[in-house]
Amino acid sequence: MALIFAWSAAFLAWAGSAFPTAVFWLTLLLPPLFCTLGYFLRRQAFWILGFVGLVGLAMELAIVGKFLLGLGTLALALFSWDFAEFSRYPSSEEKEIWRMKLRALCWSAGAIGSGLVLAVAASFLRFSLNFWVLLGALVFLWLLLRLWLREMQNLYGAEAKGKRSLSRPTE
Amino acid sequence: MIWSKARVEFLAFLFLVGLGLALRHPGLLVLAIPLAWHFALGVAFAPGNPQRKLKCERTVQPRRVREGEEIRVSLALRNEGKEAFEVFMADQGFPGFTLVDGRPWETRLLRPGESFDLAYTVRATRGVYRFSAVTVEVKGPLGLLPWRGEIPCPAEVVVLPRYEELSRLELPARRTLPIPGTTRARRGGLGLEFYGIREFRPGDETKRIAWKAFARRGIPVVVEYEEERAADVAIVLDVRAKAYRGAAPELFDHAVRAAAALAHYHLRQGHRVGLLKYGAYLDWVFPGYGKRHEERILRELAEAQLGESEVFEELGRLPTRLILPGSLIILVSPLVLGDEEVIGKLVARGYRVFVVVPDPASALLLGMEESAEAELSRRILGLERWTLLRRIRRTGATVLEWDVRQPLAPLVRRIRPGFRVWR
Repeated sequence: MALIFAWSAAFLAWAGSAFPTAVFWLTLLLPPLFCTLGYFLRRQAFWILGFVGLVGLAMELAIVGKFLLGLGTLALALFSWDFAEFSRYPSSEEKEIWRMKLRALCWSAGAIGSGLVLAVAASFLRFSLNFWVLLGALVFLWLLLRLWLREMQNLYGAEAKGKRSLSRPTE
Repeated sequence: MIWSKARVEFLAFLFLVGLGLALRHPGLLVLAIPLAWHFALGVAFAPGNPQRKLKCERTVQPRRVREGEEIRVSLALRNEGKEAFEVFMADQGFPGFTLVDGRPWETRLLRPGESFDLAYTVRATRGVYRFSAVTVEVKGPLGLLPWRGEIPCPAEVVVLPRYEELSRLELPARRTLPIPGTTRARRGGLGLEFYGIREFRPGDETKRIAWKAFARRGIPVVVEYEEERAADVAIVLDVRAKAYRGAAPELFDHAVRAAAALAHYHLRQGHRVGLLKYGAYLDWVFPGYGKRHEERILRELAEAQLGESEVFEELGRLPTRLILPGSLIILVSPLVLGDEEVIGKLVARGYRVFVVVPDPASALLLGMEESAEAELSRRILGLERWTLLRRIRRTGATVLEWDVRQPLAPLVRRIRPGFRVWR
């Protein structure tokens, strides 16, 4: 299913660009190809490349002014990204896989759908902000997240700090 | 280190926002919103540390097996929390395990109160395997920030060495214990074998009177049988890695099996058996009797491993003070040059020494096809060992050179006291 979403995202990006036939546009195939490789070779790195590539395609659509198509591509990329996890964890029972996929689908659809609604709603907002205010906000947000992620890292078992005795005698 | 999915999403979001700001393109900034929202939800619903919520139980059936037998490992993971987890569970593996059936990993969705079972069958090589925990990965609904860790799930399985049943080994110790057994004590008493006749003494049973001899001699005489008593047997297993060089671990496994067979045989005969693992360390199982003691010895043999130590490099450090004089010492070792002197000293001190020498050449050839080259190499190695064994033979020890491709029992059955070397 992850591959279907990945190829759909690439197709949407191609359709959004009015089906160009120039050789350069073959690079559109690279992100879903990476996803396909990630699926068959079970390599997370390929999935990451594929996802980043699909986000890049969405970005390209947004830059050329096809904002809604860009959002659609991004949504499909996120669906593909969420479902990529299942290529890593096979289960012996088909029923279990479907159960988990259904749950993931509901959560993904909820998260991505609400994100799309927020994005579309935000696109209707009209306000102007000073560039430096925006940059400052971004830096502040980034620092906040860094701090929070560090907390999470400690919570999830980072390396222990402090004095520790050696388990073997020193020479 | 934050896991890749969360990191990639976060970096993609930062890139979109950064590029949007740099290009002053509101479309890119808006495009970052679904990504940020997905990331935020994924992090918000990421599972906490589930170690207190997940409980694991392990069942190993049977807990005690012989080499080559199958072990069924069952795991039950239960969610005692109030939230559902998507769990990937993988059991720890051991190099000595070969998977026969099932698989030691599984992914499931665990709702509160639910549990799932995982079962697999393995065939194990000799050893004591201590399971400590299962590796668990718990993911939230969007798969961001998964928790990876271990859930304690201890169990132990002992894989004992496979050994042959020895039917007979006529190699008595030089000194016996005042306990009934099967070793001839070279003294008259209660037994089965005829020992001699002597004059009747008050208190002797009349049924033991030898009437024909009485008629011939004119004085009453009684028949005496050779008393059979238990003896002290010390089995010394050589765990010096240098002794097995080139043929370990197969040869060592054969040596362990031989030691197990000899221990089992002597305990069954009612002897007091001790085990000494000599080489990398000194591991002494004090002599004892019975089935529980046999279990103790087999367990020690299951755990036996090769090693190296400068202190115990030579056989000369054998702690003979632990072994009573006159005992039967059974040394199971492929031997190295220099060991013959120590064996000679043991014989001189009054021990009866029986050396079981698993043939390294035969172990090397075990997996090879029969060919002229293989036969030639075997003969060259055999000649080298012949010199060593001849020296040991001269010390008065009984030597059994064992081609490990052949069963041990028939060779042991042929041994008689007085014969020195059997091949």
